[in-house]
Amino acid sequence: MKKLIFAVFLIILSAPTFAGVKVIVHSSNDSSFDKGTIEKIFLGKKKSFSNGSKTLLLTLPESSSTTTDFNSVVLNRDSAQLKAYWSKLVFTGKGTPPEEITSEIEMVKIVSENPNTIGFVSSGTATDGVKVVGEF
Amino acid sequence: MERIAKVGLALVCSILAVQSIGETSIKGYGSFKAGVGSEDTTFSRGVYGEDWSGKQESAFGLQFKSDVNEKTSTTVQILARGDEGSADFEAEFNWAFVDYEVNDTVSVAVGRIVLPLFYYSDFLNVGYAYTTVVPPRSVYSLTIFDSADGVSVKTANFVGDFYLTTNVFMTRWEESTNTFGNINGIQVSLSGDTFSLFGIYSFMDNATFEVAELTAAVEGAQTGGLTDSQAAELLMEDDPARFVGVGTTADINNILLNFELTQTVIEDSVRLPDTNWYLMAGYRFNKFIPYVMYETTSNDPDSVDVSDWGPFESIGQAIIDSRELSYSANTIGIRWDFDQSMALKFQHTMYSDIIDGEGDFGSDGDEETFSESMISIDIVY
Repeated sequence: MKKLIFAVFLIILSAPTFAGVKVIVHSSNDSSFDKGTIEKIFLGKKKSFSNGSKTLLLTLPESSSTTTDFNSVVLNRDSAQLKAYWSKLVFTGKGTPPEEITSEIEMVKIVSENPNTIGFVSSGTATDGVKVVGEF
Repeated sequence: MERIAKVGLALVCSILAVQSIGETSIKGYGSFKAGVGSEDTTFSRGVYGEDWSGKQESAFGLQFKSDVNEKTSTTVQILARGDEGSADFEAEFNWAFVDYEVNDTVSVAVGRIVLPLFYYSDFLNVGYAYTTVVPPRSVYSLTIFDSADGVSVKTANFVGDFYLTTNVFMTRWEESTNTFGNINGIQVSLSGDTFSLFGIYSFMDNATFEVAELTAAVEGAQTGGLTDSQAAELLMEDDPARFVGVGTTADINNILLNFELTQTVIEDSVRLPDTNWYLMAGYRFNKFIPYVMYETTSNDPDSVDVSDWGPFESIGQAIIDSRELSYSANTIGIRWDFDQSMALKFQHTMYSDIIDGEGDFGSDGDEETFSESMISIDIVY
């Protein structure tokens, strides 16, 4: 019983206050997506969607809790880890890190206009005009 | 300073020229490193003396990347290092290349490119990219090799769930008196979610290094009758060379491991073949990564055989002994990601069992110890 209480306690402790994130692409993007594919795209390892178009990665400000959630749930990394990861690639010209978009509304707008983009917003954000390809 | 201004001006002009075609992104990094040694020493791997100093290993870089078209980009990186010979923080072009993406998996870079001789080589100056204050000196004491002029062909592919990258490079590196001639090689890495394995092999066809004391000693012996072929076995002149390295990194449940084993050989010379390895282990605890590291370097004094050199055996042996270097070192340190894009690090390294023929510090039968404390602030932006 003690073990069980301890286990429950651990789960509660480790349960993040997590609002959920939606990964969004242009409405015309008919590529296939799963969590693994999204992770590979956002780490710069897959440079094209399965439909052949080049990817253009978008992220929200580092201070945004949506960014923190996306990084930890989809990419399994915290922001410092991710920054160190990109530092290894950027300064040898091997990769281009996601471009930072200032707000979620702006994110939806940009993604709705550019077929190459992939970004994310919090679950509560309206995603009219874009396609949601994953919810985590 | 004037030169920095000139370089900056030239760069701004070229960027303005490029900007009309595509977008330019500017990224930068900075590592301010300072350290203090346990004593003023002639130990060849000891960087810091008895007083705190902050210029030997500090570096600041600025990188400009411009897209020429969808497949082609140019990358220019300017680097200012604290200890650049006699001039401090003199800016230089660390790399400048054109990169062409043949397709999603193959790209070709031409120009002054990074020389990926070992694992850290790609990001040696970007302190933020790694855990320790400085890359392990056992492997990364040859900092003259950042970049070379030539071509590299890179591939990146998924093999099942594993990410396989290769980099074949053909370059040339030479300074006024020192050269490696052509440096060709291949770097291969295979990585999964939590680990990576890598191997690197490179070879050079014309290693020529002028070491004043060595040349003087050999020339002195030559006037006494040392033959040209004997002298050639000692001097680093037109010698073939090779660098080999294998290693692994892992990041599992916040436990970090990093291991690398390397060997560098310049044949037919008293640059004795050396074997170096390190093992670093760390634990990520929120914003902190405490770590420990063991490393060792040793070389093989038997690689040049002077036993049949008759009257020159003793001077030949003395020259070989003067080139011997071996030691082990233990490091304890911590990295703290105290703010966005900023890390503060501290480490203390204790070198022991030092045999260093280059100076008076530690020799056969008189092994010594030396320690260094270092701090750094590393940023990327």
